Amino acid sequence: MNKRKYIIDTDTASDDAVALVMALRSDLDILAITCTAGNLSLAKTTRNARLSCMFANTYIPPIYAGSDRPLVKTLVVGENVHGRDGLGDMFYPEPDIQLEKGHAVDAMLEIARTQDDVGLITLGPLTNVAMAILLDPGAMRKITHIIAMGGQYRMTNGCTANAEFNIWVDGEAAKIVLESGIPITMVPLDVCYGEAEITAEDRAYLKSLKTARGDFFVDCNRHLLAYNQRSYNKDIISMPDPTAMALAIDPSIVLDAVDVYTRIELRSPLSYGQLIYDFYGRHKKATNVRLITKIDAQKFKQCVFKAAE
Amino acid sequence: MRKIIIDTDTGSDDAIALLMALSEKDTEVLALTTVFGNVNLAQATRNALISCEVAGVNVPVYPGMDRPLVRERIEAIHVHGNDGLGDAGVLGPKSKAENKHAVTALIDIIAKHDDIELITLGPLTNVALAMRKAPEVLKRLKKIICMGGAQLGYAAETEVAEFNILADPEAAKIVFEFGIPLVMVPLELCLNGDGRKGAETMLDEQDLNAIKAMGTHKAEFLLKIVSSLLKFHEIYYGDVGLELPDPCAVAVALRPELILNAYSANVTIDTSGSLSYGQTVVNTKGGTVLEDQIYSANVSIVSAIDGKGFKAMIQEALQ
Repeated sequence: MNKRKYIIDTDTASDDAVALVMALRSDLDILAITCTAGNLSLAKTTRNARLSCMFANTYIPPIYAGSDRPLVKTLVVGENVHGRDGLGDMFYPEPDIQLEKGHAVDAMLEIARTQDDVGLITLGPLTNVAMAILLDPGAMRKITHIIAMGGQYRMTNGCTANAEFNIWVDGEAAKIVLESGIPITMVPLDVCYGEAEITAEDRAYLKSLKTARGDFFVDCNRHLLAYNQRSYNKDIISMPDPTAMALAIDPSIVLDAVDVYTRIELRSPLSYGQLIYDFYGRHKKATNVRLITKIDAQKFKQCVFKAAE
Repeated sequence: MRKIIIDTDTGSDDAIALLMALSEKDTEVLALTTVFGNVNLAQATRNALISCEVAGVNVPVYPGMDRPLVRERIEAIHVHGNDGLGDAGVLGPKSKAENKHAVTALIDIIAKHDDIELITLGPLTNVALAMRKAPEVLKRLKKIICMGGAQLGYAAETEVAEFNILADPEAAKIVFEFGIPLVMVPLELCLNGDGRKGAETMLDEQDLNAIKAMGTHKAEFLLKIVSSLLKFHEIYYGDVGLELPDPCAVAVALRPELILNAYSANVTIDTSGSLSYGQTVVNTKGGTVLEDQIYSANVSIVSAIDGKGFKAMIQEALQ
């Protein structure tokens, strides 16, 4: 059977890094990694993408630098969550992997135009994807589906009260993607907490493997752990990007999902970036998002562990 | 003796809430003030007078605002019926409303009495105007208990806004930012609150049969006026159920021992969203990426009340 082909768009910080390693050690065929600003500046996210590929220690897909700021908004980064280097301030040495020349958006479009059966996994703000859609909507509609880590639907106060970070950093880009006609599967913050939380026990297990990857998974998430500890008073890390990646690797992880017509609020300073879900079908519009509402947390964790072994 | 004023857009669940308040011991209802909302002002006023007559209590009713501060008026006759009382042919009232405007009455009464608690069951237009007109007087209020707003994922009128707030978000913003103790009774309380055991407040078929068996004229009144609410529920859920948000607010106000959980939060009203207009935006401390945001709680949100106790309170009011 043909390997499933994906482009990964990422603002590589701690949990993105884990997701990239998972992807490269799975049976997915990663055609390219496209980087955007978000968790950190573009310079840092491209560096961290290259580092992640090094830690994955399998093959190196072409890595491209893309947008260095959101479409319209001013960039707000999350260094307080991920560390100044975005990888728990581990300050790993410069990896011996080069960035490709050319803009991530052009790379994305080239792949979309010339190949069939390509999916897209997004782990950060949707700036690159939105720009690609604007520049060549026909080509982007060839993308089979997008698996996006983003949004929240019952959980609050993840970033602002009602908006999750990836969507909030570039709401305008999210709107363009939501309206593009490309099928979207959204993995909201809600399913990345609860049973999916990486506990102290899980971290001890990863360390017990004594692999470079196992150590990387725990160490580069040190700041994310501290952030979760002070925000939720729990000794856990939630790993949203690996959750989205696990879905791509093993779709049977999804236990429940709902197809829903989804829009986004962009005018309100209080609710900017909030995803508005028409759960009751009041607007009688075609649904554009498959919202994941329940995952098999054990399978998810197995997927993470497997990539560290 | 608790002293209360109730501001109401008297639809069907408001009327039941009024029956509860008017029969509660150790509680003096100083006035009812009416506002447009579920129905137009004239209808809301009429229904408030009818509720007093059914309760057998004489309380002055002051008609207030017939329109929101700024936005265009919406109503909820699809939920409560054209007459707001289930279009069940309820007759009356025999009594008349007062001549004084509700906003004036609010200011006069609050100036005269200490420790008044204001319970709001509809859009906040009257209250907001009173606050703007005589802020020093309104600051004398002991607290406000507002039925309004909803937690993320629970709003009903739009995807994210509950009716009372949506009907006048600018008024809600004024009231929520005024600076006196405010207890918010959100919409989801009329279902099962925050989902914990014992927090189910929705009346099911069994509860309705128990009320039917009471045979009092107040019980008959309730069953008549909820016909639209029941129909509305049937359309959405395909079964028999009765959600009563305003009675939940009265329970919170007059029997706080029924509260299972409440928490402090910073609540702001979205008055600028194109899709989120009318949303109650709830900020809780912690868990936010924007850790340097200045946070101060201004509202107590009740997230769950005791379902059995709530239903018992309703039955007591119908004796």
